[in-house]
Amino acid sequence: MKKFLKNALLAVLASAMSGFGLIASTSVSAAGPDGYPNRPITVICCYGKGGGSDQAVDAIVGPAAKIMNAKINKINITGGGGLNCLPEFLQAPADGYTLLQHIDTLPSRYVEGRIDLNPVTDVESLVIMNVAPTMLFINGEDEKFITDGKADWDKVVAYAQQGEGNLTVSNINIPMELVSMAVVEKHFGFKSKQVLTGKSAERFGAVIGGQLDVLMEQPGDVSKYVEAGQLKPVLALWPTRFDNFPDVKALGADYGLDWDPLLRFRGMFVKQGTPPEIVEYLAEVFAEAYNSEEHQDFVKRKSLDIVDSFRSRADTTKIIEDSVDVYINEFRELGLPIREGL
Amino acid sequence: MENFLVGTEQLFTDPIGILIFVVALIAGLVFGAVPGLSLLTLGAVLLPFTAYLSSTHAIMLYGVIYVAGVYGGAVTAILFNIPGSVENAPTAFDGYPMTLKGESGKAIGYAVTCSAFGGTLAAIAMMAFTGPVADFAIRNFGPIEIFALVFFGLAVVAGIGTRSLSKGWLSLLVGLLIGSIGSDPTGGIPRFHFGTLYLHGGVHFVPLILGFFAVAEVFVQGLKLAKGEYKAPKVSVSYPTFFEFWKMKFVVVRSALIGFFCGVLPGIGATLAAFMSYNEAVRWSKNRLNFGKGEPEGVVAPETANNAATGAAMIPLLALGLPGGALTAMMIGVFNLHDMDVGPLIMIEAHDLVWVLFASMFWASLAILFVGVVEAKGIVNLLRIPFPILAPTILIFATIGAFALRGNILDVYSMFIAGVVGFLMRKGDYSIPALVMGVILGQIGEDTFARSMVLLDYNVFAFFTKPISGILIAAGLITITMNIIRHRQLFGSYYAEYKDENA
Repeated sequence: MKKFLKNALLAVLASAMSGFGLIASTSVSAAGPDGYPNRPITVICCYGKGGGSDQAVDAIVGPAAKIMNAKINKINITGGGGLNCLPEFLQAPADGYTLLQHIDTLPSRYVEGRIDLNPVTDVESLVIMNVAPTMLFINGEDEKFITDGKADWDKVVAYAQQGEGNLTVSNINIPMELVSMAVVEKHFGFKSKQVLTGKSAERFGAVIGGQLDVLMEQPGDVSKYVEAGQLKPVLALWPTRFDNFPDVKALGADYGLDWDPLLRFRGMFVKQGTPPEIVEYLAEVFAEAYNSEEHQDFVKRKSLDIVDSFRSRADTTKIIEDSVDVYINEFRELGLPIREGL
Repeated sequence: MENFLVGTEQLFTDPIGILIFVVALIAGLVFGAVPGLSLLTLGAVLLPFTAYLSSTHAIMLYGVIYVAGVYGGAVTAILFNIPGSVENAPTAFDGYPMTLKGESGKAIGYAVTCSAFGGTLAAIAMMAFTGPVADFAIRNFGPIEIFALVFFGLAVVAGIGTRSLSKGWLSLLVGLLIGSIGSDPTGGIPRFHFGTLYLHGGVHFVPLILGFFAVAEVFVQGLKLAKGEYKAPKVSVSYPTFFEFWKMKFVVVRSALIGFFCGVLPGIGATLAAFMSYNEAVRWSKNRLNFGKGEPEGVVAPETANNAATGAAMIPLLALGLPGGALTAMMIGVFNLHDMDVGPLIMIEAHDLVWVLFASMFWASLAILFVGVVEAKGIVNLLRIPFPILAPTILIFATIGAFALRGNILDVYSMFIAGVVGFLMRKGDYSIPALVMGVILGQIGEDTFARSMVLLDYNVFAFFTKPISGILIAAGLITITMNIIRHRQLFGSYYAEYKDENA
């Protein structure tokens, strides 16, 4: 908990400072160091067209291109749970003309030993433009988990504790979600039956259609179902309750779990070895792009303001470093395999 | 009906709306037809620009390109054995052999008419039953039922495109094996990746289809040219007669129903629709031995179904906010750009817009008929291009198509390897349709099987404890048994003669 509070304080301070910086200075210059960029920049998006990462890239790349007065091309290299894009990125020269969009799977898959790209030493972080907490949701009409019209986590726990695998959970095969669910199971003393799929339509549909009991998801991605009453949030995997969902109990405040919640984050990176002045320039450009009116509209529309979604270059680097440690600890705690030498 | 008329009126009394409708129709046909320019490419390119359009125009644009694009891919599948997109791949199974037999005009005629019919029928059903159908599908069809559906479909595949059932089964099983390369769909454990990150994600089926169909065909025809045996396909502009269409009535209705049903299932969409309807056409046809050799039913079934799936895909999209595929996922992005969220409230909050979308998809389906008839008369003349010019052009387009998929050069290598394998398979009378269906249905099947096993506590017999899955699995097993018996009866004598001749 202390670590979480320290990070949160650091993030707020850094955000405030970066915000100050933006206000105090004018805007970032269109021309970067040594005339950079003098040709189109490519962003490798590791997830599919139309998905959350794709939308996040589109939303920030548009304003960034305007600030730099440069063309930014996006290519989607999908597959392998976001890993198929890495060879393309690693083959590109470290000149600031090839950027990588990636998420929290970068540190978690490294810890797992699935990739050799070390997110701490092999890449330079530029920005995190999406940070989202995770919640559990139930079907909006599932009376067995509802008390007085409100989703009741205690009922979910009681149902789950009736037998191993009694509770069915619609989830995705990404370490962040799997570890988070394992932490919940351990804390409440039950074992659920998790049905995993990467296709969000099927994942959401399974709970909306009443085939599975609980959905693990980031609230922004399912906000429209919540508004329509098809899904109800039942537990926030967060130290405190969210202002947007004051009736929804939180793991920390309501159930006393002292745990730094894992975050879904989406960021932009360049290869290690990219000239430092270009790295700094790109970080400033993306910070300004994040605060542009165009991007802020996107942040609000996608409910990415539940927690502060922006992390500066320094904070992004810190989050990546911390994430590696966090996943090492979580994997150890859960008895999961870890890369040799960590 | 009143809502439909209001939607139509809004569509056709607005000059900008008409212009966007026409441009979207043509762009959808072109992008759907050329492999390197898929519907998704068009959708992704247009997405940022939709912010400058009115919400009605933006949504209507996507509805029309979806309908037109799904048909567009049939043309290149029939003429050059290059499916414009995956859902047109089964069209090539019989469409291209029809071209080789000098029946390209008929094949395109069937594709045009049936695409229009399937799309129109689905548009009507979409307008009438959006709410209840979406609700039924989402409550009754989970991974258990979808796996049973895939199993039922695969049961008939081994008999397609080869005279040897054992070679058909071998092709199917190799397809299933290729489909299992990459991370397993539930646990994410990588298999058969040989240490490369590329194979972690599995072999994408678009390069495989381009390789097995387009590249292998260039090799086959190239060999004939080298041996002096090449004969250019006869150009034919003859359209199917009314009587010929009438004979297809059961295939059309059955395929429209299959297409509609598959389209309604979230995340499944037109690809499963096309393959399943092709399989059912084989299962129920009196001419099942002609499939893979130029059987018109093999064109009618997938083209009716894949267009029927476009209208059906709007049902979960609009009623539940669940996209059936990548293009419908982009449509959610368009709605969001205009500050709207798809879901149960959309029919109330954006009532007029939804009816303009319904009307535009209905009229786009009908417009395909007229545009397609004109196109069919003209486009078959592409076959007059001499092979030495056509072959490299096909290879260039196929290469662009494989690379444009996700910007990965390894997809191009996969395509050429598939081309060589496809060439050798055709020489050895193995079934390419069975292999391709094994890859595509196998990937859907494995994913749903793995999730079913979790739900059924790893008891395979539990499929029979649920009515829908029990019936489908039992029907699949009966089909396999019947196929073996029928094949022995039909080909027992053929192989005896063959062996005698070669003794």
